[in-house]
Amino acid sequence: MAPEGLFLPGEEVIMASVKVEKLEKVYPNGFKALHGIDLQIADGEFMVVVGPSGCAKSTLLRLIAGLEEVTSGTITIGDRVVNDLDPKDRRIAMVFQNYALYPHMTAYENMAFALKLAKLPRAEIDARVREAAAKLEIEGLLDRKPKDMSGGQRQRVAVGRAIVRKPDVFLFDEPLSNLDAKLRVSMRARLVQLHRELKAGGQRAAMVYVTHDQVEAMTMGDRITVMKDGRIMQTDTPMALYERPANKFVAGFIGSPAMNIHRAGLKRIGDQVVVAVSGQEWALAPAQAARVLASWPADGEEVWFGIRPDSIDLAGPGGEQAGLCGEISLVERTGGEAYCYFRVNGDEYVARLEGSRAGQLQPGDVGQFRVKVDEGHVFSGAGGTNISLPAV
Amino acid sequence: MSVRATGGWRLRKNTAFLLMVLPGFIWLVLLKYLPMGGIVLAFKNFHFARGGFWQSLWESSWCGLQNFEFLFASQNAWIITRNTILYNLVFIVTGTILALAIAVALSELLNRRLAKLYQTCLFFPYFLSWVVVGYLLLGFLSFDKGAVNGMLGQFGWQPVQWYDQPGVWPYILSFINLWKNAGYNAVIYLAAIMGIDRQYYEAAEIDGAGKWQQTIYVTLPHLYKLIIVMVLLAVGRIFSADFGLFYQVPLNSGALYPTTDVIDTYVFRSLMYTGDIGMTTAAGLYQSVVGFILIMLVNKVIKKYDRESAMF
Repeated sequence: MAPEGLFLPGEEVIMASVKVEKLEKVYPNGFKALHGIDLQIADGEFMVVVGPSGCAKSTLLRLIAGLEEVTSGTITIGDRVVNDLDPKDRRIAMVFQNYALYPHMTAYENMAFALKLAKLPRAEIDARVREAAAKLEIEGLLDRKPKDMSGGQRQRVAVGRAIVRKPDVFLFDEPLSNLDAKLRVSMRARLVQLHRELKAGGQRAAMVYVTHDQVEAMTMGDRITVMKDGRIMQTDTPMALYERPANKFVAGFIGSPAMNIHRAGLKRIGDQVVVAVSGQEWALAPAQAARVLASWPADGEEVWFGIRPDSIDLAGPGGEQAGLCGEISLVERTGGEAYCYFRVNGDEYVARLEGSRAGQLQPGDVGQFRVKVDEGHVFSGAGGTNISLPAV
Repeated sequence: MSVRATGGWRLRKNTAFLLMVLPGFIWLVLLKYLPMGGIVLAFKNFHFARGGFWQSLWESSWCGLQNFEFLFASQNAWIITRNTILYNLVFIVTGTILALAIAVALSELLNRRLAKLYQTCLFFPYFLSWVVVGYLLLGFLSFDKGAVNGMLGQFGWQPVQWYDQPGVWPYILSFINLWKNAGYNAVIYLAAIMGIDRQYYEAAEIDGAGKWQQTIYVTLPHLYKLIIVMVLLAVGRIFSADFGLFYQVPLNSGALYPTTDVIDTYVFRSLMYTGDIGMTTAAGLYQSVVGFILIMLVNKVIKKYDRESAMF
């Protein structure tokens, strides 16, 4: 009989999904970390959980791993409720932030450890370790101990240790945060590629990847879950989160530079809805207006208007369309593009411009910008809900 | 000039650290290095003369290795050497194992308050003087009023003259030594265990390791270097016995000498009876030199197998 969580050759890997229902975590000191969250991850899906520090994203991961006790709610992996199962019996593998490679063991021994404990035949252990090492291009490191490896190499060994177990679910707890920027980019791509390879090879394990880095989230995840204060703010594909943020928090968190969000007022003029922001008044597009009208805020309630830096451009000659005029405070040139920071009636804006269009702009200049209002978002003043959200 | 400037700059930069080191340095020089001059006593036929210690030392004649001969010519030389080494070996092995076991058990206790209570209880005996321990033990082992004989009497068994039974004392002394010192050593190991990153245990848990396997594969490898340092230090003292344990606890009972007499107690008694400072200094020098050689040897062996774990 195969040991739990580890499959012998020839055995089929179960198509495993992760289902989290009404999950709550309350610590003994009374602090409520998770507030009854629901989340479903399909088998083979790469789900990134992202959020600021202290939003309980790692707690969610640790609860799925079984490293912490669930207060209430259920966690289902495949067709089994795993709330009361030990971590080793949940068919999961985890890659830790600091890799947690056993320092006294070589890379080979680290990768083989779980298989050895599960008493798999030596030949099977060797085959699995060498297969994973080949996938991760670490065959030459197998005899080295962690202290003799670089951060990136350790990281790959840690991933290899997870792969050899052939788990139903991979859990990654900010695994790239200890790497330098360049290595992080390459490891990001490698992990995504690995996910594809595993899927193509029939190992349709779900991956749950926790990070605070929204660039990592956007570039890696099939879907992203954005969390704040122990609650899920939105779960969707990266582009959907970017284009249709459900609320002000998601809008501000996803995207770099962040969305320009400022206090605004709404007016109805006939069929038109006009948003007044930073001393300007812009008519919303008819479709946008209709949606805003459907969730019209209470009288006098202020709203928030958000516009992505990509939706602001330098105005052409004649100053057509909705526009902003402000003194430029900073121009960051990154090569192909430039971020132009300017201030309008006390509100700070940033525009993402093509490098060539940024031209000779200098701090202190007064710039004329046009705003694609139809790409903007209106968030309710109280809850920050996106009331201009287009229907999916 | 530039070297001086650099030196001065370093001195100013590290003033705070140097001041912290100063008390330890003074202690080392005053109590460890200066007394080394007394080693000459081991090679002198020391007699007190008028004019005090220094005058006596100056006037005493050189006697070569005579003091060492006196020590080894004694009929008891073999017994005291055997006792000293065997006791210390037993103490090192059992003490290390028990201290580790206590430290691991304490670290696993989820209730931190209880863990602290147990830790304090285990640590407490370390602060007791051997004189107190000796009389505490007498309360148990006294022939007519001891608790043990009292219990034996309850079962209809004859009372035992414990202080006339050399055969049982290796066990009694080993037990007492463990009881008194294990808690202290456990605290050192516990501090090291607390420093181990919890993620190693979590990784091991996910890998399928139970508590015992976590101890074997995570805790012990992380304590390996500390264990080596502790054992190495203990090996250096293998020729020195805990005087209080071997003198106070058996209440200096002559009948127990075959199993309780060690180099330190023998030398002490010799000094008391003969007043021969030369011989006792020779014994002390002998203990130190052998301890030094042993440390070097053990360190060399460790270096051969695991270079990084060696102390120097």
